[in-house]
Amino acid sequence: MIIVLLSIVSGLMSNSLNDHGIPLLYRRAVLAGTELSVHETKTMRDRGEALLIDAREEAEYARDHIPKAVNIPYNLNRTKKSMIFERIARETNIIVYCQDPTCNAAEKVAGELRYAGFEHVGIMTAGLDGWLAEGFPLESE
Amino acid sequence: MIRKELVNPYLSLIARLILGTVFIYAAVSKIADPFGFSIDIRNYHILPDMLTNSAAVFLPWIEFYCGLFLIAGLYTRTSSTILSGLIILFIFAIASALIRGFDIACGCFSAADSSNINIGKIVEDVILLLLALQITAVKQHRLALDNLLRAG
Repeated sequence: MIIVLLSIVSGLMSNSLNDHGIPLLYRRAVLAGTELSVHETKTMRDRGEALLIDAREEAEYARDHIPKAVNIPYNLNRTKKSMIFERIARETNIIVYCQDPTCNAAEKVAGELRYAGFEHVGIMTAGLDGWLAEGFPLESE
Repeated sequence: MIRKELVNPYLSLIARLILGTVFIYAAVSKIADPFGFSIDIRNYHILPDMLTNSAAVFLPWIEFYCGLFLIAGLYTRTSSTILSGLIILFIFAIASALIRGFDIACGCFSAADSSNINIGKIVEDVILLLLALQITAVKQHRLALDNLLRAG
C-alpha cells in the first residue's frame, strides 16, 4: 500500500514539475496537433508550404509514398530521429501521415516533433489509403 | 519443497542488489521522459490509449520504490512480489507484441533505449523474474531494514 501511495504522490509531483509533463488521460488530438484532410495536405504540398513526413517503416516507404514526402519511421531510434529533426527548421509546417486512420505511427512522430519544439505539426489522418482513394499518385524508391 | 541453497539469504542479498539497481536505473530515465515512455506503452496496443499516460507517469515510480526498498531491505518481500508481477506483465507484453508481428522499441529501460523487442528481452526478463522469486522465497534477509523493524 505504501509503495502505491508513494508512487502516486511522486508521479503526480514529478509530472507537474516536469517541463514536458503529460496529461494523465491521453487524448489523441491534443498531443498530436491539427488534423488535415487529403486535399488540404495536397494543396500545402503543391504550394511548397509544408514538409510531408511518412512515418511508416522504411520498407513500406520504399514500396510507395506520397511524392516529395520524406521518411522518418516511427520506430527509428531516438538518437537518429533527433539528428534528423535538427536539420529541419523549427518554423516549418510539417504534415505527418501513415497508412490509414487506424495506424498511430503518424501520431507518434507528430508528437515527437511537437515535443522537440516544432509548433506547426499536423496529421493527414486519412493516411496513404486516403490519398490513394482520392486518385492522387504515389511514387516508390 | 524449495532447496535450501536456493533460499540462501546471502544469495538473496546479491539478488536484491542486482534487481534493485536494475529497476532504479530503468525507472529514472522513464520518470524524466514520461512522454517518450507513454509512446512506447501505446505501441504495444494492450492498454486502452486513454490510460497509457497514467501508466507512463506512475509505473516508473513503482519500479523506483520497489528497487529502492529491495536494496534497503525494506518491505522486501512485498517489493519483490510487486516486481515479479510487473516482470510477468512485461514478458506477456513483449511476447504478445512479437506474436502480433510488431517491430517496436522495447521501452524497457528508458525512452532512449532504442533496442527493439526480441526473444532476448524475454530471456532477460525471465532471469529478473527468477531473481525476484528467489527474494520472495527467502523469509529473513541479510542486511535488511525489515529486521530492525521486526526487532523494534
